Amino acid sequence: MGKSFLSLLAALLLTTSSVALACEPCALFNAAMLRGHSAGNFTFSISEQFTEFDRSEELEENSIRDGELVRSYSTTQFALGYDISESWGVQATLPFIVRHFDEIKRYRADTKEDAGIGDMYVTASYLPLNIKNVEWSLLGGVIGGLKLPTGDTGVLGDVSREEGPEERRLFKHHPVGSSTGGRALTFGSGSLDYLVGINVLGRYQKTLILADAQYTFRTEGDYDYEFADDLLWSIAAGYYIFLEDESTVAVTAAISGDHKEQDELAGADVPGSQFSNIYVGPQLLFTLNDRISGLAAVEFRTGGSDQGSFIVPDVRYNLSLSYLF
Amino acid sequence: MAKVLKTFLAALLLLQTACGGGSSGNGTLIEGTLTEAGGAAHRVFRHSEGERIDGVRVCAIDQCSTTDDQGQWGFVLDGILPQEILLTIEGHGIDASAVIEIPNGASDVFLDLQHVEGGAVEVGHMTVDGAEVGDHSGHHHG
Repeated sequence: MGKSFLSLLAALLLTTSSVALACEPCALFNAAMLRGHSAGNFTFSISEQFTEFDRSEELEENSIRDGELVRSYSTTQFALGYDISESWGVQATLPFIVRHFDEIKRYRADTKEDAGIGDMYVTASYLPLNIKNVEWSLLGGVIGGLKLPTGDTGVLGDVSREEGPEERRLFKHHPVGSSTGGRALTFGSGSLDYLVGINVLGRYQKTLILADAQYTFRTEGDYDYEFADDLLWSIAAGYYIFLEDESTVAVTAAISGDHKEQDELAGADVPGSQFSNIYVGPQLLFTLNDRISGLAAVEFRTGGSDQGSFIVPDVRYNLSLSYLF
Repeated sequence: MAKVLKTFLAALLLLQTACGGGSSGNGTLIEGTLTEAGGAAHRVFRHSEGERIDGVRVCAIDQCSTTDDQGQWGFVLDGILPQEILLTIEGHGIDASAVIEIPNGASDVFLDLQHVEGGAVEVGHMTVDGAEVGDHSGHHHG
């Protein structure tokens, strides 16, 4: 039963983390690895993460005379992977980002949208732990990769040149990622960054547990802006609700988090650029024949520290679909 | 495969279009500044004359705004406004109100509020749609 599905989930773990980093702290899920490594095959995936934002309690209505406040942030990720062997795989990921924001001029808000290509990720995954029995299984893997500076960094230039009261500079921005309010939202960082991650999957009969964590080491990018290192993690527990030769469906309950300290601009800390978020929500994972796999999830922010952020994430929606060829 | 792809793309499109564009704040903008003009009596919150006062809540009808470090405040009032609106000003030792006459059809109103002797708040000057208005307030009290 679960052998192919377990391989699939194992690969999900291995590439979920790397994909998450491709979208900065917004954790995308790459369903390509729901299938597991299949030596000599390619996988193409499309993933979407849509995050809605809300004002923090610190930000009162009508407290911004001029500025920008993000309302939603969408990252559509296109990934192409190649399985070198049953244990090794490589993947390239390119995100396309769309953000909706309120442009506030003299207290009047006008909702606008802009879009662009984000930073590309190239990652490798290795699955050294692969124990599968009838009653139980345990899989574990690691990921490493690079984030390349392919995205537009124009907003960072605006951040570095902004004059006037600090509040105006803070309100203009959003992060590269989930939270916002005082942090630069830019499609790219202009920096070469390094990521590492670990994934574990355990199964006992029809129940399963998935866990992953990843850390990104940031370097200075364009306009003397350096994003802080960030940590992402998630834990999910679930159950197979449908299990056939041709298709499988599993549902899980997940808790996840993303954490980052303050960014630096020309060596000085950027106030309000740090965040710490905790999310909970359900996930649905599925496979169809031997080529298709996917995931749908919704996450609700339930905790974390705002720490000066005026806009915080509220709900995240994740969709992912992959095809093996 | 085609059915799965169509479902996925439909869901993707739904998310992408979930947050559409639009404008808010098409009503009348009421904004201004709050300046100390000799009314400061509270030891803790004393401001120098001429100094802009931050952290003070200014409200009218169903909207409020807190003055920033430049003493600026503002909000947009939707719908048809009454000819006179009551401004309440609270915070930093100030608890006052002022009645302002708004001309019909005005879209931008700027009020220079001043905290005067006795604790009242008066309108130093008022502009409506860029033009200075002479007789601009009904009455005011602390």
